[in-house]
Order: sequence, then structure tokens, then C-alpha cells
Amino acid sequence: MAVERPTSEAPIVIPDQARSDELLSPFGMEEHPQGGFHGLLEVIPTKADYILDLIRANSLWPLLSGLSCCAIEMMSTATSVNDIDRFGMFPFRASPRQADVLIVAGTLTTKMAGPLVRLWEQMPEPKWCVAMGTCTTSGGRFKRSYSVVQGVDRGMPVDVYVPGCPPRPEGLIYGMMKLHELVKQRRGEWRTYVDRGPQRTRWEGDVR
Amino acid sequence: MTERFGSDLRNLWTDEDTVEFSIDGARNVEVLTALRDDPELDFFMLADEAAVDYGVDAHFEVVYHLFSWKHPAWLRVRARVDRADPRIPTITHLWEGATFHEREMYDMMGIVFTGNRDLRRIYMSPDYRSFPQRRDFVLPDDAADSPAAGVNPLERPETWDLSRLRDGPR
Amino acid sequence: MTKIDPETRIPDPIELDAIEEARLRAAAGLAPIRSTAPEYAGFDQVGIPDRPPQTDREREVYSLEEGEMLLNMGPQHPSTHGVMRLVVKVRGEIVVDIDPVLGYLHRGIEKLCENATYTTVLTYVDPMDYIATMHNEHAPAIAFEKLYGIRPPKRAEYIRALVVELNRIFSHGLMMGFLALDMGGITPILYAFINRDEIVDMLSAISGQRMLFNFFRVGGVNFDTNDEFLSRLGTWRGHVLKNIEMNERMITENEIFRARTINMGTLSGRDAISLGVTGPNLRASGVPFDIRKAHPYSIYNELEFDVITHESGDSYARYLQRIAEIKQSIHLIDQIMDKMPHGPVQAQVPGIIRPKPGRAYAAIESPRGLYSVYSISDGGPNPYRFRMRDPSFISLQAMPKLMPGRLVADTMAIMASLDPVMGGVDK
Repeated sequence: MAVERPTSEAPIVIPDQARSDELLSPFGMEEHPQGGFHGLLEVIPTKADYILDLIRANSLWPLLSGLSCCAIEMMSTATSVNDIDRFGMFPFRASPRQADVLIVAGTLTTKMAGPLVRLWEQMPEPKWCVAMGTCTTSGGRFKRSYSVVQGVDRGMPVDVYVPGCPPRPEGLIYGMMKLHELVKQRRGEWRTYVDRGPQRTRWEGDVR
Repeated sequence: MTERFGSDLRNLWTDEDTVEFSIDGARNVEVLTALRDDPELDFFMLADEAAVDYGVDAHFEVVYHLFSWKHPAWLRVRARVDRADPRIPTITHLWEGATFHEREMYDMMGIVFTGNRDLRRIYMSPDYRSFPQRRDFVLPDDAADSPAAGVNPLERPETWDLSRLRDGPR
Repeated sequence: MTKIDPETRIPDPIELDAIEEARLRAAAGLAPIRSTAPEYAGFDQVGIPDRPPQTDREREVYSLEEGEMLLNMGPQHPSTHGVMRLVVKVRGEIVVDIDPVLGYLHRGIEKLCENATYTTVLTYVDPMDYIATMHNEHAPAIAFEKLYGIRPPKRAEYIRALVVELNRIFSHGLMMGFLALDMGGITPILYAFINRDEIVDMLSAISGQRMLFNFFRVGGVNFDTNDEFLSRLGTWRGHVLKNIEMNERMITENEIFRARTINMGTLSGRDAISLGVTGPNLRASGVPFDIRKAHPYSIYNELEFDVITHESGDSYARYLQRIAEIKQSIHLIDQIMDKMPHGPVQAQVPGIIRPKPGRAYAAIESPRGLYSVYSISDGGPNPYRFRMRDPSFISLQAMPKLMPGRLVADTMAIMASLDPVMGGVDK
């Protein structure tokens, strides 16, 4: 089953009403360690951001980044029998500029690591990353290999890890449901991620 | 076959479905051309071309497996290659499909195929510095510690942002 | 309003990058990366490394004439074969030359297997050709049995052949789906995956896993058939022929599909043999080479089936070849179910086998061609050398022969008809 990242210690700040607690506290919405709403307002959502989060969660567009065997299970999740189209994830975009979530499905090798991280950097925020399969979680069955990156979180921040080799489609769907929860509660990693700007592979002799 | 190459054949060995013999690396083109073109032998298909490393003090071997309609068994030709100067002539003019096999053998073992028009690395990055399938390439416990790591920044631990792993999300 | 001088040229970011880089390099006392030496001619294109061409073929591909351009179909692209990079030299829209760059999925399986016991090797080879997993395990199992000197019991051989043919059916079905998907048709892939899901649920009943079935053992198979497997098999067999016909009718007579595959990527039999192409691709070019008949292994000499060939050797023929092979596989499954004997499903072998020193070669017919394993044993618990010859790897060499003269859009269609799977290509 999927495992979520530990909750962030940082306060969840709603961007358009940045740092002022005086504005928030009359409504009982001051910083909550778990993020999200508390008290009465869990029951009565009044913020438009909640609607936006709901919209984001229900139409996460994945980037086609199937690298190997898990890609076949990802495609199997996307097609008729286990259908993630009902969760809004029908269009697997080919271009990273149009995608929300990068489901890294398959073994990440050292040669592919550069292009994959470049794809991640090209995705516009808000973006989330799902590490599908054990190869992306930790190197998996290729633990001692000379050319496998031991876990995709060496290159990009991961929100949901879905273990399995390959994970069953139901497992991936459970992972996506966890991701929905993260999206709705604004607990994704992208918010704590510092963009290093466009990266390119560095050859020997490079100055910058 | 024995009549033709008798003097160069060594270690002729037969099993229920394989016939095998060894030759010296320099003779491989001659032998394989004869095997392919002779109408009685007619080994028209190169099924596999593999390289074996017999140890740091021993030699390499390039092993060809051939198939013919006229013979029920697979034919295995083992061509011995020196480890100090691993060069062997290419057979891409006989079978074009040997190109990728030879590139892979060059990439993984470092055997140079003289005459191959496209001898460059196929699996590893072009700047990779060692030959992974040799016996002296020891698999580390972490890819980043492998002997030839370092070209790609993701292989170099000094470029990773370990503070994120240590302290958690910011 | 400020007056903007129309003569001002805003430099583009890529140029700025290059200018700044040159400035920094000059300040550090280094030579510029891109020199003007003649051996670098044509080498400052996107996606091409900043180093001189090392081989003749590289020089041939990467030197451009008037009107040619290098197009990089990068490792991530919508085609679903996996991660492969194609550097295509185009003149306008017509492909002049193509250079596949592989290795984006190289996992070092051969090296890992040298440190694993023989049974563990059978799990390491699963993710090579991840669509035809049973075949990946079949060849090493046969090779290790030759090394160890045993034969699996009859029932095990029959179960092996059964699951292998089931795997072949859904692998060919997926090829049909991917071929249509690469041409833009999204429906056939859905049907292909329904077909695959049915078969894979069946195989998960017998082996416990949906995809990388860890099913074969040295000396037999792991589990015997059970009720769930047999009932699913029966239900599936009842409607599979109708389903296959429905799926293929959707695309076989389709005008767009025919226009895009007939006379595209024609490979002659002689070229195919020289390139090492095997399997349905070779049989679609007219050469009746099927290892199950040419050098029978397992129980294939007790089963009757035909070796089908097509004469034209184009993409359409390769597609029709695979459909015909699906029907042959169904026929084979019927025979297997009729003839399956009772008995044990695994020979008595110890947990860690230590075969006598020797060499063994085993070749099987996978849905992509001749899949073979050459294994050397030194008497210890691990194989000394474990080498796999993957058919997709070798079939990719056909691409520089098939693509030139075609449009860029046909590149993917022709590649899909060769049906490579990158896990096998890159090991």
C-alpha cells in the first residue's frame, strides 16, 4: 500500500492572505500543524481555494513517463478494466508543460536520470510526483546495479511512494487517492521545493 | 568440418544438441565465412554473439552460435581473444546484425572489433570510463560508488542536496 | 511611451547562454567548447554531444548536407515502447538516416545474475522483455536444466507450454494495440488491454503475480494449475476467438491503417536474416524460421501447428502475421489442454543447485523472435556467465534500413510494427 511523506512542519500559508494571523484567527483558521481547516470550518468550507484544490485533485493530468514494466501496469490502470479516467486522469500528456503529476513508472537508470530530472524541472507548478514501483522507491530488485539510480527521490521530491513490483492497478489507484488527499490538503512536496532553474547535463570541462 | 579446419580446431565437443569448437581469434572471419558459404554446411543464421571473460589472468572469448537447416544441432564457435590486447576482426560484413552485438561487447567488456564501422558504447553513456562485465569490475552496494561513476551529476554524491534528506522537507 | 528602436535585436536565450558560456570559459582560460575545427562540422545541433564523431557511422549520420536537419525523438516520447532515443536526420519531412541511441533502461541484469543463485536468476530475468515474461524465464530454465542434467516432468513441460502460449497471445495482442496507438487510434489499445487483463488475471491465479510472474523453476514450474485458473481458462477460451476477431476487424480493414502500413517498412528475407531479425518479423518477410519447429524444445515436437509466413514483408504483413500467430497459439492451447498428463510439476532439485562445470545454450521462440540464453557454469552456486540474447535488441538494427525515404510520422509506425520492448533491448 502507499506510504505518504511525513507531514511538513512548515505552516500551510494560503498565498493570497499571506502572513497575517490577525486576519485568520477570527475565522479560526490560524496555522494548524496538520494543515487544512479545523474546528467548525472543517464542516463549512468557505474558501475558494478549497474548490480550487478540489478541481486540481480531480483533474490531475499525468505525464507519460513510463520507463519500463510499471508502465505496462500504469497503462493497464489507465485502460478499461481499472479506469483512472473516472478520476480525471485520462489525458496522459506527452509534453511536461501540460502535465500536473509525474508518475515515474519503471526503473530509473543513470543515463535516463538526466532527462527525467529535466522533465521534472520543466513541469510547471503545482506539480506532484508519484514513485510507482520499487525501482523508483529505492532501486528495488536492482539494488546493487551499476547503472540504476537507487530511488527517484535522489533527483526530485516525491509525494507518494507506491511499492510493488509492479504494483497492482488497485495499488496505483490507492496511491492516486492518497495523492488526492495531499492535493486537497495542500501538503505536496512542490511547495517545499526550490526550483534550481533549467538544468543541463554537465560535461567534463564545463565551467558553469 | 574437421577436414577443412582440422589444424585450427581445438576442443571439439559435441552434446545432444550443440557442437562446439574453439579457434583462435584472428581466424574467426575465415572460419565463419566458410561456415556460411559452404553449401553443405550452410550456417545461414547467426543466432548469438557473446563475450566471456575468464578472469583477470586469463583470456576473453567471443562465442558465436550458428544455425543451419541441414544440421540439427547449434554450432558454437569459441574464438579466443587476448586480454592484454583485446582485438578481434569484425564479422559485420557477413551478418549486419552483428553490429549491435559487437557494440555491446565493446561497451561491456572492452573488446575492440577491428573493422566495425560503428564501435561506440551502446548501453552506457559515451563518457563512461570502464567496462562493467569484466570480472574485475565489482558491483558496489550503491551505484554511486561504482568505479566509473561520475559523469552524470546524479551519479556524483557531492552534487546531491543531502540536507533535504537529513533535515526533511523545508 | 519609450521609443523602441526597430533595429534592436533581442538575443535569444540560447544564444545568450552560449555567449555567456564563451565569456566565462575565456575568463577561466579554457578553450571554447564548440570549436571551429572541421571535424566538428555539423555538430552544433541540439541533442548532439559536443565531442567529435568517433566512428565512421557517427560521421555518416551526424554530418549534414544542404537542407538536412537532425531531429531528436527523445527518450520520453508518446510512443509506448519505452525509453529510446532516435536521432533522425531529415530533409524536410523525409527521413534520410536514423541513429537509435539505447541504454536508457540498462539495468545491468547480466552482471547482477553473476552474483545470484540459479533460482534467483530466474527472477532477475523477468523484467527484461516485460511483456513476454514467461518466455524470459523459459530460456534460462532450459539452459540451467541442461547444465544440471535433468529434465522437468511432463506435466511441468505442458504447463510451461500453456503459459508460454498464453503470454504470446496477449503479447501479440498488445502489439496490435500499440501499432494502432502509435498511429493515433486510441480504441484498439483499450481492447488489447482488456484482452491482456483477462489473460493476466488467469496467470495471476496460477502464479500469484500479474506481470513479472516468478513462475518457472529449474526443474519445472512453481505451482500446479488450480480451480480458479482452469475455470478462467475455460471462460476465456469460450469467447477469445470472437474477441480477437472483433478487435482485429476494427483495424485490419481500416483504410487509414492500411494506407499507413501497406508497403511501409518492407524488409526482404535476405536482409532480415543478415540483420538478425527473427520471429514474426522474419516470418512476415517470407522465411519460415520458427525455433519451435526448427530446433524443437520442450514438448513442441508433440504438438501440431503450422509455420505461417507472409510474402510482402511490410508492416501490414507483420501485423497480419501476429494475428495469425495468435490463432495458432489458441490452437496450441487446445491441444495442450487435451494432452496434459498428470504428475508432479517440479523435479526434485535442491534449493541451491550447483551444476557441473560446462556450457549450455538454450533458444526459444519469444513473441519478438529468437530469445536465447548462453550460460557457463563453474560448479558453484552462481552462474559464471549468464548471457541473454534479446530479439528486440537485434531487430532494432533493421531501423536504419527501413526508415530512410519515409516520412517522420511513419517512423513510429514502422517501429511499432517491429514491436521492440525496451526492457529487452537494454537488458
